[in-house]
Amino acid sequence: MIEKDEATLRAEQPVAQSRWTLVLSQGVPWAAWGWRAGLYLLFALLVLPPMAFVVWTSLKQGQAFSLAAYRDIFQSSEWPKLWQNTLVFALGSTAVAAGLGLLMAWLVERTDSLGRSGAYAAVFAGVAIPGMIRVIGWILLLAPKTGVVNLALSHWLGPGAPSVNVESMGGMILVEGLFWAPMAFLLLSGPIRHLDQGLEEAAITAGAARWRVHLLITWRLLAPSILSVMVLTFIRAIQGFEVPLFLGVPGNVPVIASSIYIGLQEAFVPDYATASAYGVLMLAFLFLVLGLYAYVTRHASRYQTVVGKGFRYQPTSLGRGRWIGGAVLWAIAVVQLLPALYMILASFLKTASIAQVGDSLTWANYQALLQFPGIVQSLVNSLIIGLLTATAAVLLALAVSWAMRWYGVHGLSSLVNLPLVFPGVVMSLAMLVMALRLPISLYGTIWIFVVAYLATFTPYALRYTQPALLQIHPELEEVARTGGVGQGVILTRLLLPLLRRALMGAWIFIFLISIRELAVASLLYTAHTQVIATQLLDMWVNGNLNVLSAFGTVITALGVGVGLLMWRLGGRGVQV
Amino acid sequence: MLQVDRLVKRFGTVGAVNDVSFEVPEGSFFTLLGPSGCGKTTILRCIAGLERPEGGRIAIAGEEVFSPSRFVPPERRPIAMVFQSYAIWPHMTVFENAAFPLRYGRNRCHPKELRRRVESMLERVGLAEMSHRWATQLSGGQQQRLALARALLCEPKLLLLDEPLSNLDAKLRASLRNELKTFQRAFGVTAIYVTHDQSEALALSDHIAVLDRGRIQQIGTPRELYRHPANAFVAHFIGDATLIPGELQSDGKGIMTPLGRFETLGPTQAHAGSVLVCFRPESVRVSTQPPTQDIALPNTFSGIARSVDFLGDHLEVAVEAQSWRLKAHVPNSLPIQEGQELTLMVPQEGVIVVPSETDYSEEATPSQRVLNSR
Repeated sequence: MIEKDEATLRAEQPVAQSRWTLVLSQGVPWAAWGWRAGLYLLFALLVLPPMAFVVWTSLKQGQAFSLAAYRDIFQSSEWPKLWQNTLVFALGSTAVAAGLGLLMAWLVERTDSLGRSGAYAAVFAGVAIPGMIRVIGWILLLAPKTGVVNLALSHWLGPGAPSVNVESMGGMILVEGLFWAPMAFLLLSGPIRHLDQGLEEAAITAGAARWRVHLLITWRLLAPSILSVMVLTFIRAIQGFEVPLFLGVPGNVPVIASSIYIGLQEAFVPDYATASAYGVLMLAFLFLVLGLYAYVTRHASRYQTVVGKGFRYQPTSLGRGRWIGGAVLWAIAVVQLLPALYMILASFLKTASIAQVGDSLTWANYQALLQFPGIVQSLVNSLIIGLLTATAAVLLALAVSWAMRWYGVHGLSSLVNLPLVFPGVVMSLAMLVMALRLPISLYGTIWIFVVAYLATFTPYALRYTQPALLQIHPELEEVARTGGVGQGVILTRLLLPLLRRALMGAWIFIFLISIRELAVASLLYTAHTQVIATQLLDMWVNGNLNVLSAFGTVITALGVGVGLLMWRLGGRGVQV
Repeated sequence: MLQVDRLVKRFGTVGAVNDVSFEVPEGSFFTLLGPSGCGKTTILRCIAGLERPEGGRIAIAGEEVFSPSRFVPPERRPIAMVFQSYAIWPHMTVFENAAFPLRYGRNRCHPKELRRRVESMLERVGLAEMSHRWATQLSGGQQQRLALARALLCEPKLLLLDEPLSNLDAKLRASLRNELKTFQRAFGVTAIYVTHDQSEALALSDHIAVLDRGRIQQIGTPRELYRHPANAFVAHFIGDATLIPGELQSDGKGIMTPLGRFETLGPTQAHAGSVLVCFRPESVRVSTQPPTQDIALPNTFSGIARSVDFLGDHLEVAVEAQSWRLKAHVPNSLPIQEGQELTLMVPQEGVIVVPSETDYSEEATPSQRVLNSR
């Protein structure tokens, strides 16, 4: 009897879960209706108008509607090249990121490799050091004529020495791939760790050859996870902004994201219609990719066994390869850190060249930085925007997950998550064209950043609050209700304390990514509303590389400081 | 103390509770018993106010807490609930957990009074020494006691218990079962208990309502349910039972079955035509004498011993009689071999007649039917 009961009980679980939501929506119909309507309205206002405005702008020629902007794009001679570059760049960096991530995950989870902490050092570097800093660091090291490594090569080997050019498609792919490798590692290590060894052993004991087992069982079971990581990286790379801008523009490798920005920056009269049309095309393409992915993975539950019990794997012994594995892991970590480390060094040099290291360490760059117009203001702006965005995003995410828990408004999450599809520069453009048409003056204030960041980053906060709230058993609240405790006390005395860590983690993470966001900010700033990322971009275009390195060092220190705080709060460091 | 009248609760189009009515007198221990999915937890949650029924009426201590025009939320009902998961708040100490309802709940009290009451309650449940530990450091049995202490501190008129023992191991379950009953008696609180475990229900309850598919099958004392099951479901669910279909004969006393004629002392007037003959394993008398013409006598039939399990004080013999399998409890002195032919007799007082109109007979073949029984 009891065995039978447990089996049926398990089968009943889904019913039980939907019951919670049904119940409360019936128990307090007005409250439920209010929550639902309020949140839908709020996010519809936050998410839909930018999208509508960018579509509308792309169709507007003067007073009339027309498809001229699209026609011009399709007829231009650059269009095929632009597409080809964008795709090659995205596919290449996907391959690099997924390959490195898989290698790291395999070494860490399935072998007795040494130096496994190297993988986590790489993850930390990936979170704490802003992407922009790493790109500029690579330029300082590997720019075709001025890069330190190339200077050194020609110094030692004479003219005609081989040189490494990071401002090329190859360089872009490697740098972007390195950006996303730690994320791929984190996302893949879970499935690899949880792969039930029994599934493989069953095949081996059935007499299958080991290579065949790997091919038919291991990789087959991991395929959905690998595919989803690749799709994610691919989308990230299509959305990528820093690498195409800093490496692709000087290297003459234009992709769509960078050409939207450059097209608007370089024209005397900005052509918003063409830029918006590019943006719409990107969005359409990304929706297509996501749709295809959803279609391909519609049977993914067949692989559900992958998320089995946490069997600790008998690690594969690498023998002497343990050292090689450790070296590989640490090499990846060092490569993540290297550009930032060199930038720190460069901030203490008089010139960009490393040749005079011995005699010319100086604080002068930092003094120059303090004198530099607008630096302090940009720091203050970024911190204020970061505080406002992080606080508002966490509160919104909490409200959304709370509403989803009690009132079952599941459609809301697709609305909240919609901005994840937006490339940063397209979000920036959309906010800009929207703000220019709004009766209130949003453009030219820091509020436009807060609104754009809020739309962009709230989905990340949801990644913290939703699972945290799910982990709190409904009975923990119900027992208080049956004891006569009101909803207010339940929220402040029970839920908030239980959610504290998740909320703090979300807050710090949003703060960290908002103070350094470049792509979303790129079209929204004015001379009076600089943030640190756009300030750095301005210095890159106009300024002295050593002063810029000093600024970069300050930003890196800020990032590492906040990152350490997040690390100490516990393993929920990186969210994607 | 509690009246539930024609309660109806649906989830979507699925009827979880259909037209359920019962009453619970003050101070008694009332159990809702049934297999999972029978709606017992849903009824409890409706009483608590955690679910909103579609129809019916619920009154606690004379006050109507639910009717089609009225819904009192859980926080304003004079109840307390102990959950299957215990729902101990992990970010608080034992003391804080127990004190929470007195601090923020329906019946708040002065801090001094609160300390005294919480401490004396923790003393009574044997958690006094642990009052400053984190609640997560408690063992399963201790968490269970804490959940009970917290619920009793609410001073409820009605204590609702949702399978509170099901997460514990068997030994602990038995000892806590006794504690639970002692506490309920000592505090004089009216308890509504939900379980799928019939032995728990029989041991604890003053009254039991047996539920299946959202309907009450029978309400009665444990003894009544065992001795006079109202239908085949109850007969199966409470204890072991063999059920043989038969036709009630015109004399009103005999039932013709494939195993011959059965006679009973119990009432048969309520039934007509096709009925089920029901008897318990301990009612079956077994003789190792080869069957003679005795088997022409009423209540007597022959069978073959298919398995013999030695259970200490008695033997449990699985018998095959024609295509029917049944269990018999036999004195352990009887030398029975597997495969041996036996003569079986069920005395008249051991024969219960139940109606056969349940859809039980459609689901199982004769031999399965007994295998499914307990």
